[in-house]
Amino acid sequence: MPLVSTNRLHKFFGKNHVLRGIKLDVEEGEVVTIVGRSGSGKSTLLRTLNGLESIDDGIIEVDGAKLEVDCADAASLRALRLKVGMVFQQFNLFPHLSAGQNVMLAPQVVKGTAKSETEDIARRMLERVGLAEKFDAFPDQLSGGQQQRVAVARAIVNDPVIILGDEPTGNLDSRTAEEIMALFQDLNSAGKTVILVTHEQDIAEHCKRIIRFRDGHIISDEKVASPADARQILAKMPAGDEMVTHV
Amino acid sequence: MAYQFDFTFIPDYAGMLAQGVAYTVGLTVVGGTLGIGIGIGGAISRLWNVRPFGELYRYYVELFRNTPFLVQLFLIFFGLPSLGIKLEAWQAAILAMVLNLGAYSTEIIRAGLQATPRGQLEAADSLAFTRWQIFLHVMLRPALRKVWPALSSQVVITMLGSSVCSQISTEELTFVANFIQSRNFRAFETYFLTTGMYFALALLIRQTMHLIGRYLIVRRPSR
Repeated sequence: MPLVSTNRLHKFFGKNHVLRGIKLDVEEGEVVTIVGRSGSGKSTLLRTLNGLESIDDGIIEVDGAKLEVDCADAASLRALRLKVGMVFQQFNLFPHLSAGQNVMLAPQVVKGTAKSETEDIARRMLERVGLAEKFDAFPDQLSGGQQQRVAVARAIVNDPVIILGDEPTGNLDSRTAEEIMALFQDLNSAGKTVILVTHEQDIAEHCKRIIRFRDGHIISDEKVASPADARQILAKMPAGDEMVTHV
Repeated sequence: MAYQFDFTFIPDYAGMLAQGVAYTVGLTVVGGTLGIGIGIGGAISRLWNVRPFGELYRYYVELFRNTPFLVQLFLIFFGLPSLGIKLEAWQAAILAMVLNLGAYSTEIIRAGLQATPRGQLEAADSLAFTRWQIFLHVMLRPALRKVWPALSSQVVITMLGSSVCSQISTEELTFVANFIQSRNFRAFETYFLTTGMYFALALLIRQTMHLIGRYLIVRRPSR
């Protein structure tokens, strides 16, 4: 049984039909990259997977947590979101909280874990992303790469089964982007399933499966055996869907 | 100029002036605290359009921001008894100040809350926070931090506006000043002194608000 499953997923923004009956299954342990031109619906699909965008038709299921168009209540959303960690392009850290507090907040507030315990968890999470010494630093005292590492630590603190990344390296230089990708691969090695949306070829090359998106449809879905294989798949992309490569 | 300045009356009325200052400070502290509380409630209600409070707050804010404070005070003190609600002068003064500051602070705090970057709200959503948890842990402190200078100024304006409460015999600083000058006929000296006292009070309140803001809102570990 797939870990993530969507069926006949539809999404409209006004008259714009952004997702057109998406059917997607993702197995546990996969690293999936979704590529496609701007406006193709790839980010919207990702955002529906943790309820940041509502759906107009269809069903989403993540590790048993279901979200349907006619029963997207608060309890279903919460159940789904506890299964899914999300990393954003702009990091979206809470600026009034230190790195440690950013990571501590979710378990403390959402799960009601005691402060002393969440502090231990947060220290472990920050250590895992290589920022143990930045526990007390505030977001504006961190570099872009460091902020994204904190964002990753925050996303995994509730122990989700799947990590979503919406252009997670889009605001980073190529070296830092590689470091963040290495982090996603570490998480994958530790058993987390990863789905990334990206414009960057170097990032797409790290995955095990590439899904190409166009006009709200999945136009191809291929397994990747090696980075060379990924490059070959990406080279076949139609004009207008080309990826950005770092020099 | 033949006029001889004479401030020798000050020691005779020092106790009375101190009482007037204490009354003004008391009105400001109670009015400011409750007014900001009402402002936070109003900002939430208007931001989320909580029924029926969102709509009620809209009319309340418009009413109190578009009418003079003196008229609001008279309506409460002289008007409400006609409806069977009779308040003491100090009660009417506090109620008028709370309602007046509440209306202004509703809009000030709402502006701060609305300035929360969408990305931070989405991050909190994605972590399964409830709407109330998002408000409390993600929106409120940064919002207050953004609008604290404006809110501080509004509290100072409210303190200065409390002088109007002397019109209903609230024994605050201006009431005391009026009383003193009616006895010594030293209008310039009395009001010059009162002006200085209001100025000092305004600086004190501004500084206090600054310290409260630093402690409650901008607190960061020192490094």
